[in-house]
Amino acid sequence: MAIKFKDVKIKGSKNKLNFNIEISKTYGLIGNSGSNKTKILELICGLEIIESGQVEILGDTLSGGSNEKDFFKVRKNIGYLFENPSEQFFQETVYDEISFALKNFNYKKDDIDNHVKKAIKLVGLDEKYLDRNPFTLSCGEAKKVALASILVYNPKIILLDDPTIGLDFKAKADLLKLLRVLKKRYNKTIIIASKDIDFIHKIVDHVLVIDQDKVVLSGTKYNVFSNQKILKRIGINAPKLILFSDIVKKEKNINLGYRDDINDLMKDVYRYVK
Amino acid sequence: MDNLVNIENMKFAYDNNVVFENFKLSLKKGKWYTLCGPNGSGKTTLIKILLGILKPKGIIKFDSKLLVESSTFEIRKDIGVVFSNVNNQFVQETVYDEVAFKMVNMGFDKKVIDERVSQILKYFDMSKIVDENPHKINNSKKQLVAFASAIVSEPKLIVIDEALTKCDDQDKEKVISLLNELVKEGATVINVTNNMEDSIYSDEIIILEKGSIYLMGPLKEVFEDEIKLNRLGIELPFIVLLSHRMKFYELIDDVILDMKSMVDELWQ
Repeated sequence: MAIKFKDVKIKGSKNKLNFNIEISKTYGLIGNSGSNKTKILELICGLEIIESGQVEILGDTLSGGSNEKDFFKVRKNIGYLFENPSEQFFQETVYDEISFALKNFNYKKDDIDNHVKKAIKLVGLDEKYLDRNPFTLSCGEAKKVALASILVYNPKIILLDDPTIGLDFKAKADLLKLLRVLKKRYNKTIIIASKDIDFIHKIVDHVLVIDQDKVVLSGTKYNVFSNQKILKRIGINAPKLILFSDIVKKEKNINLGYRDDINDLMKDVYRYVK
Repeated sequence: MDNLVNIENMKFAYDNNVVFENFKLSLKKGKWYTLCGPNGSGKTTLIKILLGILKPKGIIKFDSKLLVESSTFEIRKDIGVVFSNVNNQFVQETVYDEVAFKMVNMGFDKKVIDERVSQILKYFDMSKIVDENPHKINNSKKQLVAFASAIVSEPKLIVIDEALTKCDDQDKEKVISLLNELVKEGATVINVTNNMEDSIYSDEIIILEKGSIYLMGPLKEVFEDEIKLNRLGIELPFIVLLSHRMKFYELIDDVILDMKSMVDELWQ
């Protein structure tokens, strides 16, 4: 397991959280506003206080009694992309921003240069950006720089809080492509908290549904998104692909089967209609 | 149909960086527009111009009144704006005061304010939280407070800047059906967004690209133009993408915008 939540209570919440995150899998964390999605991510990287219980992260344990040394150990393995990337910027150039963690981890200067160049290339930005002021970037560019400043130290776990907010279609497509690379080529464990259910549906393996501080539904995306009874009760709409298949089933009594790619769904539709 | 906004021969530049040149746009009363386009295409600049924050060259008329320095304040009263980052927007200590704020400033009678504020908060199911601090409620409810504040004074133009995407699904449905009512009564809505799934609720789409109108027209008309849409790399709504493929397979003739009609057409 990459992460284990054991009877974890977030400060101010009523219920205890229990769930596991498998290594090298991508998870979607969904739930309405106030369901503590962001706090769960913050808790994993030691930014939120654990009231009771334990979080195990790749063998290390965080609890209410953890100190800075424990957090430091855990954070080396974790990259956290804030919803608003400018919240995590505090350097004057993109280079300084991306290299910051490496300096903290005492890397040598030549190594730092190499890693920074690799990271900016990986997120799809030109090296020219390294001299820019991070606060003058567009939302899409800022997210890429924020991601580069995480990927540069090669964390095993990547957490993303509402990553598609504010992105235009090009930036959103780039993000999807990059996440696929991180997932398939680099075997990262990824958790994405988002309201963008159609985006989540395209990329994740598993889904955790949070309601009133507890996991009310979890499993493969197929199992979760097929359970429309619970989703409806909470007030979350299923991805459009699933809604369409449901209408076909209801209206025509045809079972198109589960698809997470619109091209596959369209081939199915074509086959049935023809 | 009457126009609410008429822009002609508009020019605007940030220092040497020209955003609009010879720009022309008309927005009708009683229509819901989706305004989209890549980052840097001029969406935000256009909205800032309509709000009187930026001063371009050219002619801009709002409800037949010329938008100039002296008329900005009057015109602003007729525009309700909802931003995505509501935390910077709230200035009052309670949800009630926040929603009432603009009407109080506009000098409405206390009784009318009370009636309208209570009515809209009831509609959004927030009657129980009127005394709470708007900064301390959850993000979706914050967004509803921002919508209520923008709409309560019954403005002629409602501008939504990426604000629908932050609402929970059920809250979003409430906002959409209220906006639909207001549009029927003659209000104009501009939803600035790159989430094209939300364009389905609008009447017309305006796609900006490098300060020019790349495509504009009723939903179906714009979505039929597959080549131009693909050239810009726009992420199309699911149902439009499905329509394009089904058209390619010659299973349907035109773009269909709702799932039930699509199913009926395919398996007729």
